[in-house]
Amino acid sequence: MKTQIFLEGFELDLDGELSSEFTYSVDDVVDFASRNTSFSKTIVIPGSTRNNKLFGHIFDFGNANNHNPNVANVGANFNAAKSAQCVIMNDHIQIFKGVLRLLEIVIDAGSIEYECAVFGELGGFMASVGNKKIEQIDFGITNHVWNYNQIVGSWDNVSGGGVYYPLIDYGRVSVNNKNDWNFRAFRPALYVKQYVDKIITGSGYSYECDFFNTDFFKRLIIPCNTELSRSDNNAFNATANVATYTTNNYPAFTPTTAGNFTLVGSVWRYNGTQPLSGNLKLRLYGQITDVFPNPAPVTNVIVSVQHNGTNVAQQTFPVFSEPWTYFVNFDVPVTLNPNDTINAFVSSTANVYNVSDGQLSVESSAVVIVPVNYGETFSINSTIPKGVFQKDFFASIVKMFNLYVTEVPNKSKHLVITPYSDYYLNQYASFTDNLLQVEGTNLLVPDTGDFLLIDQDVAGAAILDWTNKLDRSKPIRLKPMSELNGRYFEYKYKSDGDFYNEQYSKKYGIGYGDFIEDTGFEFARDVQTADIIFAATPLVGYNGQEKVYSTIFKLSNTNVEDQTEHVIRIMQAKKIEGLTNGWHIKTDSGNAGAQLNRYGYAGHLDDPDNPLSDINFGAPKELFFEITTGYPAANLFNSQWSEYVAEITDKNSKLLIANIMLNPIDIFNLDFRRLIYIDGSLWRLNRVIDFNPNSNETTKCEFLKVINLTY
Amino acid sequence: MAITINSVPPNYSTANDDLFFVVSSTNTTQTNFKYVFAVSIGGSVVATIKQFPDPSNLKGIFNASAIVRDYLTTNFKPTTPGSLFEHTGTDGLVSYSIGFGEEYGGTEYPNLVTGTWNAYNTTAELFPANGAPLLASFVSNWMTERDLGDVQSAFGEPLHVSWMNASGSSINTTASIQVYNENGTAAGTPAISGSWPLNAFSFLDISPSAINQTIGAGTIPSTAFKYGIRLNYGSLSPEIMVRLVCSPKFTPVTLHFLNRLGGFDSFGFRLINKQSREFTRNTYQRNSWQYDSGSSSVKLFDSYRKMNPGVITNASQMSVTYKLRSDMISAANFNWLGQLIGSPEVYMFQNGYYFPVTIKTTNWEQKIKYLDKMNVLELDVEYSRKLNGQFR
Repeated sequence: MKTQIFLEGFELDLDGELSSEFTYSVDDVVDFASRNTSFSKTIVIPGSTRNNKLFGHIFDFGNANNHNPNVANVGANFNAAKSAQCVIMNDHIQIFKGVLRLLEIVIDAGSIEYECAVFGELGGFMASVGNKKIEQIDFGITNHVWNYNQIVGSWDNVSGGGVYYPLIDYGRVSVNNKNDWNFRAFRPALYVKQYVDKIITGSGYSYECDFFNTDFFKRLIIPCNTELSRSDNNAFNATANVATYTTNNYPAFTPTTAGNFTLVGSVWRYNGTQPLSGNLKLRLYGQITDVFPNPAPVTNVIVSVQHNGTNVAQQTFPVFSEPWTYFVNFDVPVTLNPNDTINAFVSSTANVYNVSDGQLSVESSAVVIVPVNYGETFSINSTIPKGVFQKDFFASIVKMFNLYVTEVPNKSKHLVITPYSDYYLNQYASFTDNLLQVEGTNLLVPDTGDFLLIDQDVAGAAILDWTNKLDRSKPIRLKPMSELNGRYFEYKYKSDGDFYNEQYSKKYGIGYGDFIEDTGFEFARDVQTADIIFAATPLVGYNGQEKVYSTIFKLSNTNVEDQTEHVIRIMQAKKIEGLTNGWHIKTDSGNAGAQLNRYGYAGHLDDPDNPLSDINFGAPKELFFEITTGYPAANLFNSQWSEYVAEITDKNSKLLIANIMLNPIDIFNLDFRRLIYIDGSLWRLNRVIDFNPNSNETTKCEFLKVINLTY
Repeated sequence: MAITINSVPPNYSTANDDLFFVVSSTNTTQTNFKYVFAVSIGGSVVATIKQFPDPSNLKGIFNASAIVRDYLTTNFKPTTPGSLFEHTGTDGLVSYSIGFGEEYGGTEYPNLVTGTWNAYNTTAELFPANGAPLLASFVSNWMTERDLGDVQSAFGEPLHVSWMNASGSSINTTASIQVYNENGTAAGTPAISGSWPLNAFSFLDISPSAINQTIGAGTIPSTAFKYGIRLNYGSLSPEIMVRLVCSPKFTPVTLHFLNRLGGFDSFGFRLINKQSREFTRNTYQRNSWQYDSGSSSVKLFDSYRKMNPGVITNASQMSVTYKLRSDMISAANFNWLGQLIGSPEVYMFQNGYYFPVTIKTTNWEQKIKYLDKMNVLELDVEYSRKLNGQFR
């Protein structure tokens, strides 16, 4: 037997040489913007005693083995819903590495067969990510206090890690004609690199990617897309101020969780829109130092907790002498309607009293969502956009930056991520030089004693000569790419309903940040689309204001800004300094801190004043701010996609489909980064289709013609 | 206790047929009640099965055979040079435990009752009776159904047979070898081997070479006509009579196979045995012109004046099959050899090695002693490896 399949390191029995076929691919030029992984056709594995054990006797109708995700997915721990690591060897040469998926168990006349398929590392990674959402990621960041220092301090360290508090106009967060900004304009944002790190490593994979370590990538952020809030039973919580009161019935409290309560005069008003049922609690401790009238022989002082000015719990303290200690601990059920008030109350018979300790709180009987207020603590994980699948997030990053996700043969669960522009081996120059040196006399560069242009010692070769591997007894097909591609390539951000996005798309019939490439193919009419989960975010500037900021709000019929939930956004972050006009971050009651001449910018441009890069696919047809230095050409299409599109849309672009004599060593060394030289033409290997390691037949391969080596 | 075991498989049951356990519980009215069967082998849980009660009787009916049989092993462990007692152990049976538990209300209550049983590597019985399983009648006996009075062997040719003790027991055993003359009279006194502790299953080589190797050269002289062998385990076993054959006209082929009792038997095919081969080849076509670096030109031939091939045979393979023919054999032996056709583990002995082969013959018809006088068994056997030709 030449073929061996190892499941989590254990060899499976096979009932003959493997007749399954394997397809190898990283990209499919026919399926625009898709990413592919290697896979097999169905592999039938016999239900031998060894295989039955390795599959945990899953064939039994009542099988209900316990599964420990921290233990290898094999034997009594086998779980068909989880991927199992798989390596396939032919003549002890690895021809496939990835994960095995059990598709079906067939019991035919008592004979058991396991129908399986294997997928490459990218497929295994996507299976491991499964349906996990980004809100399930634990970023390991401790709770933050939402205050001036936290916000301003975050602008100094744009490094792909930590938390950044960008200025974003969410509507009704500006004060003083868009010069000063309420703290609510600075919602926390996490870096894209943190997301990608956690998504990959959280699925048990490792990766290498130089691109993720560039300054450009490390300044990408994902802002929180909802109002900051907490969800728990703690609707309101305030600590009593340590103070002495003279002829004052209302002891003061400082909120630790204000939630939907605001201080109106001396009482706390409930601002929620729905009735709130729960328990009203007051704990208060102190001394009564002077009563009126003086205690002769006794004066009663009443301490109470009030709902809408009425005592709902009270305790009477007969003061026989001064000072007299009091202590109350009330816990009463209450239902608060909008605009109801609560407060602690000390009767007027206490002329002078002090408070040493105390707490006023409302504990909701059901979990409530309450807004986070200035100075309050919140969990960073609660600020992650909700409902976004990790696989969609990762796929969108891959699409935006035209990343190729590949694997290495000798490292399990490891991804190599490279932008297309860096993917193909960068040895074109020497190759081109060689060609140029001999041009006109001898096109082929002789390699001593060999017919090959590049020696078959492929370890260091950038280009392989497969001229002699081409099976000329089989049909050779050439398809113009114009027959395979659509007329238009659309690059689209997700549409959203905020004012500027809506206005832009109504006006121009295309989304802000989108781009459409017309290939000019006359026989193709359809549109091929690369769309991502993020929505674009227009930048807005106002007359007389230096700051330019991303803007996400709705406008009411009366032109009043309304805050809105919005689709997840992606932006570039930068601290913008040197503002001539100072400004303030505001709390609800005043300045949060010192005047600022800098701000934490975030938007599709790297810098709104002197932009060099843009994460929009194309330049907007209209800007909502003034730009003096010219709009940058380095948008996503130009920097990440244009070379690729040029290669597949050139009039000479062709897909070659031919049979190649491939053996297991070729497959083991298969590297799509290497260019292939056949009969004087240079090609990019697109797919190896249905390689059968045991058939000794030639294998169908797809190649894309190289139009230019560099652009 | 909530769980009661109502019935279990009988002793010496085969793992290749059903192994039914029936249990009952007092908790079957609980929400989402299920019986839990945790099968352990060698101290480790290998499978956990959960079943709703049988709706007609609320019992838990569990068939353990499909799981247990995956742990059966065989004891074909010949030594070189062969010896009379080659291997002894518990191969051929699986000792398994089942923890019977319950699950209801979302909580599992495992292993409320446990027990341990043995299952054996015999085939399923054609007409299973209510009595003891087939293997029960082979305890302390040869594990073979061949004609014990009509066995042939030759020097240099292994002759395997298996022996079974009561499961789990180890008994000191000796072998008694008696040489016989052609007229059936004993030639001298029996030779007695040393004592061997034999476990549940033992694998023996009773060929003359192995006996001489174990007891002493000349125990079976080359001039002997036949010899008998018995085991003394406190009692004497039935005697196997082995007739020596020599100077074959054709090259004999001996097959060693797992019989239906879980033991191993040997049989020599001593008439014309023919080998046949089937070839497959693969080709592909490349350019007949090639670049010649010496002359910096493109040519149709190389520097040795060999024309470049267009079509190249890049691989060839062959599969090897044998058609084997036995000598005349008794109806009893012919019927016993039906087990060879159904055997999943067959070896062909060649040049001192055992090569796995696959029986391709699929039909067998019983012979009747008084009806079928001349019995010859013909078998198609495929060598289990495909052989590569020369790659290019």
